[in-house]
Amino acid sequence: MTADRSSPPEHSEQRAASDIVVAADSIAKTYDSRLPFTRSVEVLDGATLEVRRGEVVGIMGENGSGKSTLMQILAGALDADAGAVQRAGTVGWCPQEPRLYDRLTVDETFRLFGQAYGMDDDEVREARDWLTDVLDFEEFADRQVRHLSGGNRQKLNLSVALMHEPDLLLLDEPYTGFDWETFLAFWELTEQLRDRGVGVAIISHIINERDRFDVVYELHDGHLHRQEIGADDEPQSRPTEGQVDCERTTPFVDDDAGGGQRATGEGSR
Amino acid sequence: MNGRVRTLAAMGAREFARTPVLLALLVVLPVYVIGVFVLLVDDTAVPLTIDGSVVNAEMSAFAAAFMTPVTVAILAGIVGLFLMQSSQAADDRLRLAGYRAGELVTARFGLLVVGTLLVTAASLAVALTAVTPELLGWFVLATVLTGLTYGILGVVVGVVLDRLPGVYVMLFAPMVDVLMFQNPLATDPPTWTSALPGHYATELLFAATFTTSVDGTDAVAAGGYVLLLLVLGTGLLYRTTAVE
Repeated sequence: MTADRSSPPEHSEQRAASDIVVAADSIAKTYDSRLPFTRSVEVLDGATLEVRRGEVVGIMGENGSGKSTLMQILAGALDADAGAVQRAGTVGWCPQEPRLYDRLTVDETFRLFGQAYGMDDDEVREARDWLTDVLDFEEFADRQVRHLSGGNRQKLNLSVALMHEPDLLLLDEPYTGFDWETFLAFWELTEQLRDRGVGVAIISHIINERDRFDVVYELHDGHLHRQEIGADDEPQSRPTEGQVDCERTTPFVDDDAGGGQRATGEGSR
Repeated sequence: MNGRVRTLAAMGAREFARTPVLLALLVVLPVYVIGVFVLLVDDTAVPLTIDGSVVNAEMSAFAAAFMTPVTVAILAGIVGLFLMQSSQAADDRLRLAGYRAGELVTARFGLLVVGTLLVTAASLAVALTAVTPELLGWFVLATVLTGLTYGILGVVVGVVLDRLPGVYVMLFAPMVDVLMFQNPLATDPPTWTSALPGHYATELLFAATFTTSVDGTDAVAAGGYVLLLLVLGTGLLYRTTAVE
């Protein structure tokens, strides 16, 4: 009986652990300069987070706080100085700056990355048709990336991350340059992915989007502050699982940015 | 070569073909550097020091032979540099998406070889109108080896330097190495100049152009230099495309 009583929590823990698609534990990163008389910049200091299947996680923080660095480390594009990242399943990464081949066409980009993901020709064609339809850029299939507008380039950037239907999506400001219709289409797509059990982490600056996230992490002084998005939407100040000390964060509106930005209450890097 | 490498190499070739400025440079620069030099020099004989012996050659033939490795080194170096600079960030992403480092390195070096052969062909087409090498096969081989040497150096420089300083380095390095220190008009070059990348390939080239025999060790040493740089470049490429 005792064993029976103890089983459910164990199963529950195992299930919870198996639900995690990426877990970062106590990540530290400092950018050292190779040049003399220049300073090193400490960006992350014990950042800890996790993303579960079917969870949409927002990562927020002011400019230069290290969000993109964190995202690159989560994706595996950058090594952390300390800490560990564990991923389960396939990963789709949409970097802030589209890392695409400028002189390949949209079609060729799909083919090349489809090859990288191990997709066959039919799968690539299906993914291309689906994404160019949803994001509305079918007419640019034969256009070279360098001749695309910023918004269409970003659509392709996002599509390359999505085309193999990964278990984890890491999106670094994915809707930069999107028009309103595409912005809405993006969130509709994200909802579909959530329903399919895809874990999604999104770097965002837009405070009005907070309701769309299940969890928001704020990056401040190299630490992450986890906030469950609840009914009252009050920012909760509590340390991430690495038990780092944190300070309470406060929302504010940046007039220059036209509103919608959020940053920490104290100055930080 | 597997299908993934073929696809990547083919896409790289398309990018190359869609860079009209670079393609124009490959055609115009040999005509300009080799052709104009040949036209400008007097038609007199000059004494050249080749493998310790003095050989007299027509100035125009010397100009054509001499400017060929200089041109090929500059152009191949720039091809290597641009190959690296234009694809590095996207290669990282492609690597994360599933391409293996070996596949990327193979495709990139394959493209570099094609670029070097193009540069060599364009330069030879101009040079051979003004000079008839005694040993054409060795002359072509020496030119290709010079191109490969500087092409791989261009890749290495592309990994460690940004585009602008990289272009400066890849313009000045062949000038200093081949144009100044491997010049057969110089009778007593410093010993250390034999350690420069272009030394053995240009020794081979001048012997093949103006004498009836070549020293095989020059070919082996030039090939060895290419292999050494290939190992260095491959190591650097593996490192830059390393992902978890």
